[in-house]
Amino acid sequence: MIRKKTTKKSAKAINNKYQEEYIKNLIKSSKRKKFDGKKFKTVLKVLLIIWVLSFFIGKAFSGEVGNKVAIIPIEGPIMSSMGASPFGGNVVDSETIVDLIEEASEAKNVKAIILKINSPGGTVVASKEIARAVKELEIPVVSVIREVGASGAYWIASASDYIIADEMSITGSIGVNGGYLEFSGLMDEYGVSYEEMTAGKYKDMGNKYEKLNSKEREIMQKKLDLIYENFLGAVAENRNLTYTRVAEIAEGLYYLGVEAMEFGLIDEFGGMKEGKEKVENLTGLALEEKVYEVDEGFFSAFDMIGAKSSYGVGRGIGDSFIKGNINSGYLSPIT
Amino acid sequence: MNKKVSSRKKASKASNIADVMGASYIKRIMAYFIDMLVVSLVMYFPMKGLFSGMIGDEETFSSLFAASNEMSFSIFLLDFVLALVFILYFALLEFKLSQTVGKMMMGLEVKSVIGELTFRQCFMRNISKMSVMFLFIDSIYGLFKGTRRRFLEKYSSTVVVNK
Repeated sequence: MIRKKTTKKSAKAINNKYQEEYIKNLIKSSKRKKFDGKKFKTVLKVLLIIWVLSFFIGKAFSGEVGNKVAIIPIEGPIMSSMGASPFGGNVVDSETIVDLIEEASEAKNVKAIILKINSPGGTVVASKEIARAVKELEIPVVSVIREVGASGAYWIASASDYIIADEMSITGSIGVNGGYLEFSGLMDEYGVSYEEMTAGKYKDMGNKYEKLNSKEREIMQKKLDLIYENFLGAVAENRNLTYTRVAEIAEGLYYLGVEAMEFGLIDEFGGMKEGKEKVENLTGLALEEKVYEVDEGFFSAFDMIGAKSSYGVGRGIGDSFIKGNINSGYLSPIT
Repeated sequence: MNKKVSSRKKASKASNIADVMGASYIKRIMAYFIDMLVVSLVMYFPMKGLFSGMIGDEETFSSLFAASNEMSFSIFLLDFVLALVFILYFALLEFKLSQTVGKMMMGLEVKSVIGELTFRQCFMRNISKMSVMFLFIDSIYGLFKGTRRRFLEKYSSTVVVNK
């Protein structure tokens, strides 16, 4: 009897033990499930870190890698570096633009260039310098004329593979302009005289204190004609037009985009959007834009303030004599 | 004295684990490909712009890698940074869970031969994942030694075992 009781008790104990184990296993398995959830969360956290890092890396490198189209703005009167500084940021320094063009063409990921032009022109050498740099490029170049792309700026545009302008953009103005401030009358009024010692008959020609005589005028005109011929020749060659045809339409006249299209001076109506589409067509690649412009450092900000204030003072005096002409001092032709 | 005893214990334990053969290379290669797939998927969307700019309409990824030989310093730097991110994925998951997604799926885990697994060990053992070539050279060591442990695993005192 006692034995039976003990066996019953032991059987109960065994049952309890199994139950306990079963419950423990259940708890364990439920714990394991909880642990898996933690694992899943950790994996998600790490993947999120990777995603965030990739996002920032993508942003940081987006300007450095990938096929690009370099956008080079040519905005303002074009001058050589010597003449550029007094006008601060309003003037296009040809040397800087040539450097930017070279920098862009040397970058392996730059597959095309868009010249974003908004300029009334500039000095002959500066314009020609940029046009030559554009012509030497081996990658496609598209010029997009915004408000104005006239004279020297058009010379540059003509050197590119394709010109896009708005129907209302001002372009053309193929001609040369030479002038100088002459205030001999003013000096007479104030009883001021000017004496300059020169060796060489025409060394003093074009100084602002004396009027040109007929011979000097003739010499100057010849030089302007020579530049004009050079300009016409360049446009004719660049645009596949005959010299005579360019001579007919040039004459220093400016044209609206619609007229320029008729004369073959531009290829398409449009703006930057059309420019990008064109370079993508020419290269057969999807391109991201990268703007190439002068990196203005900390000190150049001070330089700019100084330059602009000087220009402000200078313009105040200059404007009383002449309006709308950048050219001051000795005669230097502008296109 | 106690310290000496504990260090001996540690050393004996360490040698026991060190004697354990690493898990099979085939399993590990499969785990590596799964991890590659996971990381590539995660990195693809934030980097999409970069790659689409890099690859032309008619080009393929293989031509991109072929072209990368002649690419500039920026590309090299980008490669390096991306490799670091890739290593970070392995190092972080192995440090936190002793497993990556690939290792979880293949039933593998990383163990330290000397005590607890540290982040330094995890990072160290994954450096060769910077390039497939480095990883290949690193893995050859284990094949020659017959221990199925890469050189960097030995150097970082870690081992990959079946769970």
